[in-house]
Amino acid sequence: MRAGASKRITNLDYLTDLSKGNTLFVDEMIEIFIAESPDEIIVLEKAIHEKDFKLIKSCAHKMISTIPFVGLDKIIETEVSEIEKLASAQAGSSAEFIQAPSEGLIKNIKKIEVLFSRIKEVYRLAILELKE
Amino acid sequence: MNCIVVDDNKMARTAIKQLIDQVDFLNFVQECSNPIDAFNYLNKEKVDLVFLDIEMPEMTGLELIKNLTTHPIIILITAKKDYAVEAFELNVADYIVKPVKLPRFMVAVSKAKELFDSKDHKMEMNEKEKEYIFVRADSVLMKIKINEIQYIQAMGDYVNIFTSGKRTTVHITLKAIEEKLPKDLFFRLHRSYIIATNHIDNVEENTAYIGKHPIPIGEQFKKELLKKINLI
Repeated sequence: MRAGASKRITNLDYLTDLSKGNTLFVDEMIEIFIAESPDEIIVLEKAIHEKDFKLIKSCAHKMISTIPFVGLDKIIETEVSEIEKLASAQAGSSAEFIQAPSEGLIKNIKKIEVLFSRIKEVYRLAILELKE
Repeated sequence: MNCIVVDDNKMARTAIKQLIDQVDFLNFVQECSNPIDAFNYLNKEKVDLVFLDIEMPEMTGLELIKNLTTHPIIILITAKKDYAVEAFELNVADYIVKPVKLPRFMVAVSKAKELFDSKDHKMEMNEKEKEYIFVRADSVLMKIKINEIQYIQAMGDYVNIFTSGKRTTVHITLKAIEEKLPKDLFFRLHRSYIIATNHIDNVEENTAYIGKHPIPIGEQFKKELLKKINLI
């Protein structure tokens, strides 16, 4: 997936509307997104790798609040919500996994991994776009 | 109205600050990235309005509200609709689902301003200087004359306030109601009881009596109580 000039994935309409002409606010929000998103992706990736469902859920929940500010809710809200839901369903399961993972649990982890790879790519492109 | 923003998401906090800035009657004083910092701040400073997220890692916004000893007006701002019922039961002023837009924000802060300006709220803030305290019992705001209170008994998250012939059950902790009452007239004589010292009729070994009602005296409070009622 490529973000060309004709099809940007970020959208600053919501931010612009909130700003009421305060461009410093828009700049500040973009700076925060660029500065914090890479770490958020790293933390989420690590949580998925370690099957820490409580942390996965918490990361996904935080993302749900963040993505509308740069218009990414139109692109990946479904994926982020799905990860939150799957992690929520498995939240008590981390210890169980160490001993005897059920088929359902393995399936859900796979789903989370697939959803995450899309989210990670979208975030990468969004950060590139916003840095321009 | 002095207001603070509590949310673990920095972009969310910054956005709310931007909205607050557009409202003349709101004065932003602090932002907190976690409920513990918010709790400590609210205990030290005068805050009229709290914009509060619900799902935060160490403590939820709802847990923070339940543990507060001060009573700022609360507007919940959260990504999910799931908590509306619980929020209603906690008497928050409004509940906004993210992403927040200015018109919806204005509705919420207008409700908060109305509450702030209303007689009820002012009375609650000034009650220590008056003869009454105001408490919520069964969603009704009740006025209780301070000098009619005989004793107060803790029952978990509730207290029973006993005046002559009447018991009123209120959703508040014993510590919180203790802070509303004049210290010279009321005394905590047990982990679960506060007594009005001018209503005490009799004190025996480990028990104070109001008429025939026995109120236990906790060992750690005994000396102080006796001093207060001038027995030693």
